[in-house]
Amino acid sequence: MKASLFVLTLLLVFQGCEFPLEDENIVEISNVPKNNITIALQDLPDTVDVFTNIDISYSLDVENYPAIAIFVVVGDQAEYIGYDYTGIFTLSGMTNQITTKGYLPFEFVVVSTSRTGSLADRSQRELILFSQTRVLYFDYTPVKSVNFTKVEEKDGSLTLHWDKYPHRNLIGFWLQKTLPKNGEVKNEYIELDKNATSYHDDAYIGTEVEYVLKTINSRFMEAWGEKLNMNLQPSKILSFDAAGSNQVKLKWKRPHFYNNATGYQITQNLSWGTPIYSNANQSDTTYILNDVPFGSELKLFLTAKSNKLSNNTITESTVWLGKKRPMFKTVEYNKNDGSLFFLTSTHLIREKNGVRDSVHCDFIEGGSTYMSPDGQSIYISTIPGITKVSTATLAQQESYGVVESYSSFLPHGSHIITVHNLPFDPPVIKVYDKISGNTLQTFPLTDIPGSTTSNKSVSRISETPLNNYILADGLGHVALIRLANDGSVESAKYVTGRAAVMSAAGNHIYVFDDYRTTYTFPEFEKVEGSDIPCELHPSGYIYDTGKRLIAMHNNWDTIILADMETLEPLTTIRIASQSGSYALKNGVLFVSFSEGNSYAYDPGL
Amino acid sequence: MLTLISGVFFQAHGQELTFGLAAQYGSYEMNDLKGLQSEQAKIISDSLNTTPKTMYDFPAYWGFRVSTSYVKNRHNYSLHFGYNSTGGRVHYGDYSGVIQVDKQVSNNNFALGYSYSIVNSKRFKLTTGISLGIAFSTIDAQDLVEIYVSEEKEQRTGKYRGHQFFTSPEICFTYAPFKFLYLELTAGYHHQLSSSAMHDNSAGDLNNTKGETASPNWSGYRLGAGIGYKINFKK
Repeated sequence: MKASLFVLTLLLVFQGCEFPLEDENIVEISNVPKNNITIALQDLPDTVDVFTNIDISYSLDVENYPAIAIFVVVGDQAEYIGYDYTGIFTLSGMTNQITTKGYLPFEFVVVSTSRTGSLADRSQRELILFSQTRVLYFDYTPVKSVNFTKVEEKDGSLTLHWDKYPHRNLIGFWLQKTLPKNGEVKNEYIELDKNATSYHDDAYIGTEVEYVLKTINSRFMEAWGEKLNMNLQPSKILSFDAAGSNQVKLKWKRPHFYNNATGYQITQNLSWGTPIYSNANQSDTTYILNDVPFGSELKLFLTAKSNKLSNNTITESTVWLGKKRPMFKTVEYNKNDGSLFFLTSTHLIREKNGVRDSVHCDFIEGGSTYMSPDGQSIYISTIPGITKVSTATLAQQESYGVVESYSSFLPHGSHIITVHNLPFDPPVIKVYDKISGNTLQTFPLTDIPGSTTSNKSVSRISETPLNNYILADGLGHVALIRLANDGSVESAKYVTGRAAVMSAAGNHIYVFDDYRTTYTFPEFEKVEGSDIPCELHPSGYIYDTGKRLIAMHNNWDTIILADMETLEPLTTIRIASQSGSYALKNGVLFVSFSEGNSYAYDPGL
Repeated sequence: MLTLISGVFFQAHGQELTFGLAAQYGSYEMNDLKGLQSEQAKIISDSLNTTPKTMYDFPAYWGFRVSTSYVKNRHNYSLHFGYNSTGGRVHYGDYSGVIQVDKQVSNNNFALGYSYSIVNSKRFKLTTGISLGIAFSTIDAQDLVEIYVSEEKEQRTGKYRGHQFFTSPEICFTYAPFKFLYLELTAGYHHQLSSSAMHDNSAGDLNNTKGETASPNWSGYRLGAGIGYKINFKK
């Protein structure tokens, strides 16, 4: 029994002595990580404003291209980003941790293996972290409107001011500028810096404009401030004066915001054809328009030019050459005292030494006037008849009962000589008795030898120096009419021509056609070899002005002022193509047009 | 059992009954398990890019055998009970963790043997014989992966059991300095005839990566030295 127990004990002892597995393969390696990663978060300040989803760019400077995993941690939330060495990611879901405003820590974490070669490293359990931290500032406060607080005009420029937006979650800040432009409403949206508190408008020049500030916060809620309306009236053309033949000098005052203009443009809008544009510099306040037709009115637009959207029409003006006297029917000049007499349909106006006086006068439409050679009286065609008015007192002196239609008249002694040049009737000279108004004599010009009924036309008569001759000219005919001592027409002589004037010396009569031909006075005989070429229009007018000749050029848009004797042009003036009458009196050119306006211009003769 | 055997043989005449205990040093072929361990080492190396080292590859190791014999003239009839073990280990460790794949392999074997004394003097004997037996093997497999930094530890164990039939020719030299005591030296070869699959109730059969069964092969030489007690029956 004892032996059996001994054997069993031995068995158990040997069973416990099984093969020992004791040796181990422990490898000595360094536990110092071999990875080094440098993180660069592009343009990400220490405190990052987060008002909406935000994109963050990153790049990693790595060695040996280790396997990595990138996470971002915002507050208590982490999000896996990826494993690329460079990239961009958007913070979106994690931005909802704060509902109004506040700060949260932000950490950009790169997880990588240690590359120690250890078992933990190779099983990707030995990880090392590289990180960069920031602070995120969240601001979701409701949007607030911004109003202008100050409008400043300085050095010709406009600056708008407002208070700084009180919150940091402003993602859009706009200035809307509204202004009428070419008949439409134009809006311009100007993006402002979020921290801006002023805007310098380098485009506004004047007139209507509306400014309003628009704010948009991070939740894309927007607010509009109060509108600021400005309506500074533009500068006008202050004056326009004749600067020479067919030149008008414009003068204007520079606009409020002249520094916003790059220059000026003057547009001449004609009633026909395309507009004519002229340019002036930004510093200019004057400009001379050339080639302005005398006797016409130009509609001008003075425009300030700008490189940006602006309401830049400064003014619209109507200008003309010379001095305009509206509704003057005709004008007479008293060479004895230098006074001028203008006639409207209702008044006789005297202008002397810059002073005007007037008297009521029912001037006949289309009627004529006559200034006595001594300057004491002016004769006017009125409804009751021809009226004689004192040039000194404007008092009516006499009235003559000549009421028949006539184109011009000539008081002569106790008679009134009229020229009847009416349509469809042959021209007739009639002699009236001043007092009774009775017709004393009727003298058809068709009775003049060589004349025909078809080409008789008398448009004007003038008294010769000897008082007993009348010079009548018209289309195709010039007549020298001799008056009898009783004032009646005694005889008349007819020559071919379109206009005639008496020479200054009084011994010749110049007859104009294609040539100027000199005739003797009073014989009215042609001086042989006296023809001088003359460019008068066949239907042009010529006026006796003493030593100077005023004549319509045959191109119909130019007046020639020439020396009477030599016919040397003194000046030429472009005129508007309108029918009218011209007179050069005391060196001043007067033009009366049928539409009722008269113009006076000193051509400097 | 020993009492039963002793009772039977004590009735004999001119006979001996011996009880012996011998330490035994044996080598083990273990081809399947070596192959399996090699595969596991390769898997570790490939997956973790480490260099695990095979620390033990089922080397020769000590065992023991307890025998009792009935001796009549030159004929010996024996009953053996033995125990053998070996093991395999693949190991890698550093400061960060350890990978360890252990297989502790052992068997308890029983055999019936016959031997013939070529030399049969009073004090010396030289016998040669053969035995036939069965071995009940156990494989204690333990796979360990531990990462210190992540405090991860994964341990998988399995206890696979199976049996093998074997035969073992042997030469034994016995010296009896005393009447009741003898010393012996043995040399033999353990030849495994067959093996069952090694099975774990949880893990199933032990297979290599090809799905083939992996079982221990105990074939190898056996060298032993022991001491015994004998009882002589003489008329």
